Amino acid sequence: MNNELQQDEVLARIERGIREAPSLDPPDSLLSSVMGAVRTQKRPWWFRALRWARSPRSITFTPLQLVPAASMLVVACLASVLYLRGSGDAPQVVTLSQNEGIAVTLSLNLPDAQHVRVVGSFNDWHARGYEMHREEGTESWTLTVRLPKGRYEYAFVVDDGKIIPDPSAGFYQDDGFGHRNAVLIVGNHDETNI
Amino acid sequence: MDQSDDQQVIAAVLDGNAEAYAVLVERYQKPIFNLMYRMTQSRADALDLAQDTFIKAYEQLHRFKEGKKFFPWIYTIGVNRSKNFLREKKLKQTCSMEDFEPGSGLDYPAQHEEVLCQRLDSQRVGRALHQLPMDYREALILRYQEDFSMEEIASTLGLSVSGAKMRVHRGLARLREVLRGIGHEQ
Repeated sequence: MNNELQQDEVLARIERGIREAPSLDPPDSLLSSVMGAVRTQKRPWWFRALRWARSPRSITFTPLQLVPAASMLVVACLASVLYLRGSGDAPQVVTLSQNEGIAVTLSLNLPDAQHVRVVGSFNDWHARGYEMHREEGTESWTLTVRLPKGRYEYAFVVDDGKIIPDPSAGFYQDDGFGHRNAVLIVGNHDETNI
Repeated sequence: MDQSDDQQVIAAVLDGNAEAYAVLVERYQKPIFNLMYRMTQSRADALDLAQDTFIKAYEQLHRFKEGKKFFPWIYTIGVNRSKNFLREKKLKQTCSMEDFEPGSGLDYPAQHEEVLCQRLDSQRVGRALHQLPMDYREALILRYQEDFSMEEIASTLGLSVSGAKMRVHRGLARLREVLRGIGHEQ
C-alpha cells in the first residue's frame, strides 16, 4: 500500500517536472523574419475572389441615408410606368413578314387618276410603299396588304394629294378635322375585299 | 489559448491581412522554437526550422480546416519539418527507442522510490526528457506541457488514439528509467 502511494507520488512529480521543465525563449528575430517573409507573399487571385464571394457581408445605414436610394427607386418605377404607357399610345407602323397577317385587298374605281396611294393607321399615315396599281384592262386601282387582326382607319391619296375615304367602305370615322376616314375591320377571313 | 480568437486571426489573414499573422507567430513561437531545439540541440537550426514552419503554415493556411485547433496543426507541420531536417542532415537522435528495455516502469523495487523522489526537480526532468527518444519525448511534452488531448497527440504524431495513450504511458516509464540512471551516475 505504502509502495503504491510512493509510486503515485513519483508519477505526479514526474508529470509536474515535465510541465515545469525549463524551456528557451525564442530569439526576437524569429517574429520579424517570419513576418518579413510572409508580407511578400500574396494568395492567388482566384482564392481571394472565392473567399470574397463566400463571405457574408452586412450593410448598415441610417434612415436618412436610405432616402436618396428610396427616391431613386421611386423615380425609376415611375419612369418605367410612363415609358410603358407611352409606348402603348405611340403610333405603330405595322411591319409584317410576307406570310404574317391577313391579306386584305383595297380597291378604288377611279379611272381618271394618275397615281393613287393608301395611308392609314396601319402605316402610320405614311404613303411611301403603299402605291396602288391599276390592272391592265380595268379601271380599278388595287393594293393588297397583310394586316394582323384589328380595327384600322385609312384613306386614299390621289394624284396631287387629294384625300378621299374609300367609297366602298362599310364604316367611316370622323378624323376630328372635318374629314372622314374609312374603317377596316380585319377578322378571320383570309381574303377580305373592301 | 482562445481557439475562436485563433479562428478570427486566421480568417483575417486569409482575407488578405498578412500583418494579423504576427498574432499567431507571437502566440506559438515559444513551443515551436523549443520543439526545434529539442530536435536539433542547436539554437541556430531551431531558429531556421521554426521560421520555416511558420512560413509553410502561412502558405498552407487555406488548407487549414475551419473549426480545428491551430496549434496542433502547426505543431504537426513542425514535427514533420524537423524530421525531414534530421533525415537530410543524417543526424541521429540522442538515443533510439530500442536502447530501452520494454516495461511499464511502474514495478521497480520500493526502496528506489524515496531516492527517485529526491531527484525529481524540473531541471533534472528536463535533462532526462532530452535523453528520451523523440517519439516518447514529444508525446510527453504535448501531453503535459501543451495540454494536448490524446486525440490531438494522436493526430499530431500520426498515431491512433490508443497508440497515443501507449506512447505517453511508455514515455513516462522510460523517463523513470532515465531518471533512475541519472541517479546512479551521480
